[in-house]
Amino acid sequence: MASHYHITLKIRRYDPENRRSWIQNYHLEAGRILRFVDLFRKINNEQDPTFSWNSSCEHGQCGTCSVKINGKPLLACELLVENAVQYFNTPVFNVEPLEVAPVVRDLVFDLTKAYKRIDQVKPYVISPANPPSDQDEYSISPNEMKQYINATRCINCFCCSSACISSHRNFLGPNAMLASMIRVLDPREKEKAQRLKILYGHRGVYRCHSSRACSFVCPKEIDVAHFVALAKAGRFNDPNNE
Amino acid sequence: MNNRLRITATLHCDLLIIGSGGAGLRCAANVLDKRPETRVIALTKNAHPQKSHTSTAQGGLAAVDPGDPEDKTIYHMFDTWKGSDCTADQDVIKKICDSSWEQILWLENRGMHFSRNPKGKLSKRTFGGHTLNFGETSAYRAVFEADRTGKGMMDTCWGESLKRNISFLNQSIGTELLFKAGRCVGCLVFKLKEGEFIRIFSGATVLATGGSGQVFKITTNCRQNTGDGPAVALQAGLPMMDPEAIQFHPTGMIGPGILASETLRSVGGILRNKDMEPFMAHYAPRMKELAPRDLVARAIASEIRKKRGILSSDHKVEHVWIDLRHLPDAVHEQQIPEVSGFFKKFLNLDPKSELCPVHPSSHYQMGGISTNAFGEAQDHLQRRVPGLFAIGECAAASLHGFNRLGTNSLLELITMGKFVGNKVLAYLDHLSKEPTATVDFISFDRFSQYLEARGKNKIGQIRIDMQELMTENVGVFRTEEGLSKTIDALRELKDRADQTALGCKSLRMNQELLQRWELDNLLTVSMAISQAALNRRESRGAHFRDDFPERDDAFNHHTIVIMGSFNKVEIKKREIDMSIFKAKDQHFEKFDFIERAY
Amino acid sequence: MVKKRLERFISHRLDQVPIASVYVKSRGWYFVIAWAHRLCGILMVLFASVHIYTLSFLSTPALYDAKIKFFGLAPFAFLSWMLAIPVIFHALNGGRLILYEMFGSRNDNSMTRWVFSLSIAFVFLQGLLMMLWSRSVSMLFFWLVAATINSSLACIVISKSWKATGSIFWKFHRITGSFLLIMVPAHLMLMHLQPGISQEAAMVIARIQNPFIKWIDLGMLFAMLYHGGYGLISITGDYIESKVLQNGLAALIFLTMAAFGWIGTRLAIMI
Ligand SMILES: Cc1cc2nc3c(=O)[nH]c(=O)nc-3n(C[C@H](O)[C@H](O)[C@H](O)COP(=O)(O)OP(=O)(O)OC[C@H]3O[C@@H](n4cnc5c(N)ncnc54)[C@H](O)[C@@H]3O)c2cc1C
Ligand code: HEM
Ligand code: HEM
Ligand code: SF4
Ligand code: F3S
Ligand code: FES
Repeated sequence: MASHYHITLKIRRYDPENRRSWIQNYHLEAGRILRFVDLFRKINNEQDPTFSWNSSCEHGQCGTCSVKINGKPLLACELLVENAVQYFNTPVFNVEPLEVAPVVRDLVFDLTKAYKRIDQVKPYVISPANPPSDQDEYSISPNEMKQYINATRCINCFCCSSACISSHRNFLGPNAMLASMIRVLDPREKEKAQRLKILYGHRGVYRCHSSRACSFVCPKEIDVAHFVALAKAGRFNDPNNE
Repeated sequence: MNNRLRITATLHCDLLIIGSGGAGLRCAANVLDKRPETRVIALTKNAHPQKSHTSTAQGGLAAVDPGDPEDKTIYHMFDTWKGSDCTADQDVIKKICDSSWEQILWLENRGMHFSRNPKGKLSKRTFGGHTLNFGETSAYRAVFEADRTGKGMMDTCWGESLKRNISFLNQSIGTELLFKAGRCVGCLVFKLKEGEFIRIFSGATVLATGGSGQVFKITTNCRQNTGDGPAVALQAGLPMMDPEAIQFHPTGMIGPGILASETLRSVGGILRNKDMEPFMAHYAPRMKELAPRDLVARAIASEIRKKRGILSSDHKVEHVWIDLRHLPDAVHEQQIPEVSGFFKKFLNLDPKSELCPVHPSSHYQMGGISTNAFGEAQDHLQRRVPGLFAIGECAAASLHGFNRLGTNSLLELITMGKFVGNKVLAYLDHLSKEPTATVDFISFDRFSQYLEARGKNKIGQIRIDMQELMTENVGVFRTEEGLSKTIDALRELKDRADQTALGCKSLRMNQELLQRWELDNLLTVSMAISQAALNRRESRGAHFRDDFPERDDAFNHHTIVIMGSFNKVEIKKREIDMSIFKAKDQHFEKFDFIERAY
Repeated sequence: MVKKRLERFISHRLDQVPIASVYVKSRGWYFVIAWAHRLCGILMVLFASVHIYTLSFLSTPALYDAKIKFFGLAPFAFLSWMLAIPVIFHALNGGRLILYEMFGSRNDNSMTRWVFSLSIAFVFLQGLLMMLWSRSVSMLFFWLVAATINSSLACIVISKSWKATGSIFWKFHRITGSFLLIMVPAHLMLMHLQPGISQEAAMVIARIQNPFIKWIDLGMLFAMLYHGGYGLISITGDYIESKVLQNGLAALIFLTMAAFGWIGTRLAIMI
């Protein structure tokens, strides 16, 4: 493996002032384990401070830095130069913002708008069942938790949503499905009927065609498609229906 | 003045939360829980509250389970006191430790996915510095959600606030607190996406902006942690307490400084130097790898100083190894999957068969905006500032004194969040009516100065220079000479910053403009840290002076820093609260100024 | 070993298919398969429309014979052979999807390999039969076997989905899919067993006059129309945001399918 790479980033830029969009090329000299966020920062510090991008934790835990590199939605803070060159078999990368929400500037898209879809599935316990006693936690067996615990690892990076075959128009998105499924399976949630209505509604699971791009791109390696399929198989015991 | 800057709206609310991390939203959730009709606005600099730094906390959340036959709250209080190197406030320790389990239940009952034991109850793990029976053996006291405890907490607090109709303003920065007759009446806010200022008048205002790790070159903190809260408070003439108390996490991964959680050590990871020697035995014979963070950080730094470190060719940084090779696959896969995966992800190496390079990384700011035990902000004479509260990492009440125990910070967020919520409600009850009058502010001047400045300096370069300077001289080890040099250099950097033309003059989502503002905050906080560190001629907790390596009773007090201007820093004192000791209850003698040895 | 190598060889070749390879890298194989499934589905709906339209000429056998000659020409023979590709791929892959979604078979890499291998086998088998062009089979026996197997498949899917939560329309789409799983490929293959089996009006009419086959045809017709119609509506649901426009299109698709249903039924009953 080389210790340095000559990298070209072809970045899709957007200027909200005059609504102009263009591709700008940046040539960089990069060490093998620099991450793409490091490259972006390098561009800011050495070449072009006006280029805007988004990140927060910079260690793959928050899902702020999602971008599309050569068409693949991923976390820029997790992608090492070395791995990128190897995976895409080229040192030239097209860098674009995800198209799940309007772009604000350059690679920054409006996550607030993207999150609207998560809000719609009510990512919380709507109506908590009564805990065993006031001073006690629920007991949930590890086996029971196993069914949904992986879904709770989602960081809402929207990579899955961006990759999904169902356009970004009507589908609430794979990650919204996860958020909804968690509480369908969570024994602490009493209000299942409302959830199932959303889940099986017009913007729900039936917009999924099992293309499994979600599982393929998910940086947290969550088998998202599995959860969506669980909903389709629909074998939940719904206390409100029984 | 730049004529494009204008206030496009004035909003009114009962409670304004500046910073929607764990602390801010726990407070919001409490207020909305108790009084759903309260109008709450919460700001976040991040793209969304869930992207706040709290989401990245891994290890756990300390709390004594009343059902635990062995553990007792008094042990937790003792560990916190001892861990703080006897500089925490005991009234705060008592309040927080006493209500800890209740808060865990709050989180659990609202749907946080804590890891469970086979009986279906919350599992617990050990953590550095947490002991039973006043230091006898390690305590199983930290509840956790696999290695994403902070995320679980953040999701829960966010969900609970969302459920109760909070209004979020994302990518919006609080630039300046507004005051009217000594009372805080709201905040001036710059909405980054729109490039517009708005004015928010609020009954009560809570600062919860998180840490300031970006002051240092190598940090575990997120990109947004630029010390805005303390800087905004200092700018308003309010004091910052104990800024010099900065915790360095011993095991940051080389390169970006990403945290390799304490869990790695608690499940049995071993620190080794160049000669493969497990060196912690020399520094903490009993606790070894599980000794508190500052001890481990200094042990590693000492090894490196004694030329027993290893030079990384990629990052040109010296480091030591953490050895995880002997751990069974099950541990790798079940207990530390995400952290151990980090090494694979970020350094392309496999911890099952390879040694992992680590070195200390700036991690936590114990000090912050000075508040009383209820999270009410104080001026330098310890008088309450009406209408203003501060919680979370940006505030200092102080629970952590000069060194925070792992897992105590998340605990502080939820407990203090709740207390402040209660205080806010009480405060709102007594509030007459909404402020309508105009108030003065200076943010336009600052922002137009940024936009109109000329000069060839680069913000990015100044920031790097500052971070290197701080890491070198105000890091794990500090000296008189280094600190004085740093203070001069910071002034120079400030001048350079003022002579920096922005490449992008647009107001909308102008990242450069934001970074320019953040740079000012970073410099302000760096200055406070350096001045306070210079003043404290002793070593205490995480603050370690090479030239004064011992703790000195003459410094048994908090540092209070006020900044009239960047060049005019005043240092004052605040007494340490010793209420547990003074109450003379059982075991009170443990709460004296005891020696901190492990 | 050989299998592994062959697989690597094939996947390597496939990786170089121009557009597909970009998507394989960025979205994964299943994404490409899903698109292929969708395109095949749409293609079949189009074919079916033309198909039922041509069959409607059966009411005047002479016209049918005249028109259908046209389809006997070499290029059309080739096309009708090629039709096997979308039919069998969509059918088998649809079967796989039903297993994945409703029967919890989530590690279906080997299923996917079967889908591809069987599809290829089927297409070649059909080509071979087309060339042999002379086997005679008992139509009744053939349909009996196919229909029995297939009805049992459909029953399994029905029983699986009966108590499950979810949309009844969606479930019925899967049920009809499973009913067509063998019927359509069998129909396709059968229609190529003998010369004249589908090209001589007399022969076709004689066949449809058998009440059993009549029912088979009608069953297939309605299953297909429902399945195809739901499929198209579901696709519009992905792309069209306006609720009004979407409902309009759904109504349009429904009416079209109903019209074809009417033409097809009239045909089967009148003969
Ligand atoms: C890697 C890592 C692991 C950790 N693990 C643990 C652990 O296991 N246990 C433990 O107890 N503690 C842990 N900590 C510490 C703990 O996570 C933090 O102290 C805590 O999350 C801080 O929470 P907060 O609510 O104060 O601030 P944050 O979560 O940082 O939130 C700050 C909020 O303020 C916003 N903000 C900032 N500036 C402005 C501004 N000017 N205007 C408007 N909004 C603004 C931000 O956008 C954000 O929403 C860890 C820390 C790190 C770095
Ligand atoms: C032969 C047996 C068949 C089976 C097992 C089958 C199965 C399926 C399945 C499982 C789907 C769902 C894909 C998704 O998730 O959207 C589907 C979609 C579809 N099918 Fe079929 N099908 C069969 C035959 C047919 C026929 C004969 C037609 C045409 C008339 C057809 C047209 C469609 C269409 C248009 C779709 C929608 C595609 C999409 O939404 O992407 N199918 N089929
Ligand atoms: C080129 C290949 C095909 C030929 C030559 C062919 C021929 C025929 C013939 C002759 C009939 C009359 C009924 C009978 O003989 O049993 C028929 C009916 C039918 N075919 Fe095909 N077919 C072909 C492919 C298909 C395909 C791919 C489908 C499915 C999409 C299909 C669906 C139907 C249906 C539903 C009927 C019943 C129509 C009715 O009863 O009104 N056919 N076909
Ligand atoms: S499911 Fe995976 S890809 Fe989708 S938002 Fe969550 S973490 Fe991101
Ligand atoms: S990518 Fe989309 S189509 Fe379904 S399996 Fe995943 S949601
Ligand atoms: S910045 Fe948090 S995931 Fe990349």
